[in-house]
Amino acid sequence: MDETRVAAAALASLPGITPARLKMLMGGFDPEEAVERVHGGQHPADPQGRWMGLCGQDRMAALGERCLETAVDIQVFGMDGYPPSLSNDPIAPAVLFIGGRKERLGDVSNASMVCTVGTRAASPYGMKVAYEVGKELATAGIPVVSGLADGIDSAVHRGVLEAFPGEPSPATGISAHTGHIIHAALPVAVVAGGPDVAYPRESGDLFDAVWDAGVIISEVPPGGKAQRWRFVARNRIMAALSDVVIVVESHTSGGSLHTAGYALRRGKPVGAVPGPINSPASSGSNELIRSGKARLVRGVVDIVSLLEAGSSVPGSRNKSKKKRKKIVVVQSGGAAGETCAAGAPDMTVNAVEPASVQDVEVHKGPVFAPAADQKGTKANAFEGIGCIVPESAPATGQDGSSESLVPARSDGLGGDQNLRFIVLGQLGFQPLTLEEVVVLSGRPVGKVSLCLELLADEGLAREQAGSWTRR
Amino acid sequence: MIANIPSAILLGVDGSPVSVEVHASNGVPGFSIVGLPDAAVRESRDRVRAALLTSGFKWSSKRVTVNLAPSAVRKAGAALDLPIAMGMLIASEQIDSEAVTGCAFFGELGLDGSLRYFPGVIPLVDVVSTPKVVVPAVCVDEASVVPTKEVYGATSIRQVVDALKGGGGWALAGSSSTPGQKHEDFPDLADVRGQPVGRRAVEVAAAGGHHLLLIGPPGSGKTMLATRLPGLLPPLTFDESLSVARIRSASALSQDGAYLPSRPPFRAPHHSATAISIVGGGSSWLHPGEISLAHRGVLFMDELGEFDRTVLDSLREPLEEGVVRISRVRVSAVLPARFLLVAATNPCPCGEGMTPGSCRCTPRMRERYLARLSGPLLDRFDLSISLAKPLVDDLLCMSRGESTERVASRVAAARELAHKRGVSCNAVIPSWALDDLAPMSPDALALIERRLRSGVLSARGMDRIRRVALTIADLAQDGTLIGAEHVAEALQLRAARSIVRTGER
Repeated sequence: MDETRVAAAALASLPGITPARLKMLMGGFDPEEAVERVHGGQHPADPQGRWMGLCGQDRMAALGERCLETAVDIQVFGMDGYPPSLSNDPIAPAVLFIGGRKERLGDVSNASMVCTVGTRAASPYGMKVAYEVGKELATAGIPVVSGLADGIDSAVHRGVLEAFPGEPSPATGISAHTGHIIHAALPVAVVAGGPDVAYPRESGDLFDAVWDAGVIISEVPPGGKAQRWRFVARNRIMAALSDVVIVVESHTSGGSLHTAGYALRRGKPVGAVPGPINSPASSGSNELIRSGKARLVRGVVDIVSLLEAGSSVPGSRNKSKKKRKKIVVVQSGGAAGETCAAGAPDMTVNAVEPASVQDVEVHKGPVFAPAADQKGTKANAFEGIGCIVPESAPATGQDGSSESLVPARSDGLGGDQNLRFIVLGQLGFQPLTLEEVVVLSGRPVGKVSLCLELLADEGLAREQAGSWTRR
Repeated sequence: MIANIPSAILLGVDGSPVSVEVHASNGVPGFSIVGLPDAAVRESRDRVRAALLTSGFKWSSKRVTVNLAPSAVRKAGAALDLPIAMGMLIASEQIDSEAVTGCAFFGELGLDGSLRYFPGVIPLVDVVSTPKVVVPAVCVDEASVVPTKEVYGATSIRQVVDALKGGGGWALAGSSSTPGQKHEDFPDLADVRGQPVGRRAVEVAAAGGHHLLLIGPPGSGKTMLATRLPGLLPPLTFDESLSVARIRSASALSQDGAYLPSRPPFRAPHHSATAISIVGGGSSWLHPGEISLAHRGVLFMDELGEFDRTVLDSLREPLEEGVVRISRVRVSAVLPARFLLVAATNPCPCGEGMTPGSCRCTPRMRERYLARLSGPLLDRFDLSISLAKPLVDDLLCMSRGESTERVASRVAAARELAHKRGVSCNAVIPSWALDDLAPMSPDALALIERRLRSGVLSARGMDRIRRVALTIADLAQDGTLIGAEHVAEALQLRAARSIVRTGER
């Protein structure tokens, strides 16, 4: 292993090292010289000699060994192979440790990347959205960065892995612009611990899958533990690596807001997926939208237009050298319908701003968001991310339009057809307990129970962990 | 001279007859107790001596041996003081043995000769074979609960001897205290604002004897609902009341005057309780645990997730069998434990897990929290519902909900129907009898079939659903068949189970 890189890695694994201290140690010296000075207590950035004697040959050898053993690459700021997108960052990490398919680091860091993050305590809605965003961006060949944490992050990675299970990368469409075949993009994760350390430990399966299929990036040497402050530091790398940051769900004090903040300070566009106004899990992301810091994101099409906008923002990072990926939207065959069309017409691809639409093509295909398909096939509101609609839009139950969507049925409810519509109207994406449905409808428990069970049979409602949602 | 006085000791909630034999003869003066006395019994020597001397009797200067037969059983408790003292008086010929014929004695002695309360009055009085019993005056009312015995009370050993010699002077069972608690003693269901599902579940639990699990965030009214459940249960029958009285007596809980309770007991042990305190046991005479004290009533376990796992799992057999068999090397006992279990738990450590997004617990914290609730234990809850915090409108609304009295009358009517089926409540209908006792309408069958096919419902779950549906039909007085509405409600009242145990109902 390259001595210089190992020397830099040795500095990065000193006890009590922080990104800023590491930068000071490496400023003005090449890594080998810096190591010598630190070891000898001669380094001007370490006047007290706190690290004196800690960079001996044996330690370096052990570290090099460990990197080889764990198949982790060391990338040093200013040397070949360091991601160019990070080079321009004001607080660029001096040393990076790369795990997984590290040979692909160059490819992904040259592409337009989308960072998708969110809370660990996510709602089923947030998990669903995150999964779809990950899957559809990866399908469109856009690499997605996330943090391999619980909740939203894990859903994002699962979505990406669904589109990109591993080499060979599946072809997902053809760029209308260049005629090239588009391949699904591989997962990218930036973690707060060592690149070979699954955190949280129980998420080992997902970690292994991302390791096998994609790239894992960290500032911490292999085997290093994730300290608390490292998570915030990790967020800055995610923001720096990507062109757009999307917050799916965040509490008012969530770490995802740090990521969004780093992106905003770097002039990168931020998008947020709106959530129910009374959902604490969405309080932070909704606030981002309200305050105007983030653009409202309803689906992949909105993210794509943010990517386009980001590349044209003056002062944003110049990516002219990059070969722009063709952005293709593949439409799932016949899975669109009147819910989307009637409920939120501008969710279709046609509604994307003209400036960006040139790059966006609609293809018939198996996976992507449903676009306008006016044939009136049965609606499935969750089929694709493009169809995330405001709760009030479909079938409020009081008006005629809902009746066409939800045909009246007569069995078992003893003529109380209103109850059916009332219950359907209450059900949304925010889960309701039986108690809440009973209170809101003002009917006896037995009647409401039967109504819910019958709706479940018809596939219109779904019960999960004692709570009911629309499906 | 030899004397033989019948008495008894306590074992679990039952008495075990003991003959106290006292023998006095010439020899080196001394006093010894044989027959496996425990510390309290051995110390009775000093109490008896002081009591006799202060009451003006002589202390024999002969060699005295007290034998407690059967000699292989360990004897515990202080109730043998009085029989030993009586034996001494006869053996030392201070009273005539004829005077005590057909009479059993119980009581703890004070050094001044006074007679004190002892635990287990009812089972002990019940078990002796003599027609007459003499007990401390404070125990007379309690002992009179046993219908077949003539009970005589006295405040001191002097009074006992005087009464035996001359007749009269006994303290007899008075009507000083009216047994039983009144209906108003339990809080009223009308105080519960909102919570239609919670109220309903409590009603169904009371009507069918179904164990109930309440899941909800702090402040959602779990405890409030649980404390209102015993008020909904029908009053105890005489036999039930007597069995409850025996248990209370054996735990020395009946000193407060309600010797023959008419209302079902309500026990709410704290979650720091040990396994022994819950199921019963202990070394000396196998104390009844909380599950026995809740016999024929309600055992409320708040913060179920905070109980030790061993405590929770020790409930499994008693829940199934209605009794708990406790075995120790020397003794074993079968204690009654047919109770209605109401448990309450938070969905996760922070308690906010019901509202998606507001819970800050990690999935692992939740798993650890709920892992204490084993599947077999959760299976025993026929009803499990999730409660949300009540709506502001409900809290401020001045109108009260249905009162305990009205709901209790529906419950009583439903229980009446169960009695006609030949069971005490629907929860104990055996699976094989369900087809006969709980026939379902075609609608209901179709709904159950769909749930079975989709895998939401297991075979065992189905039986539980049918019992609950039968109770719901009984409450509605809906006649012969179980309808789809009843089955759907039963399914819903069990749905929250999947919060703590993902998968089938």
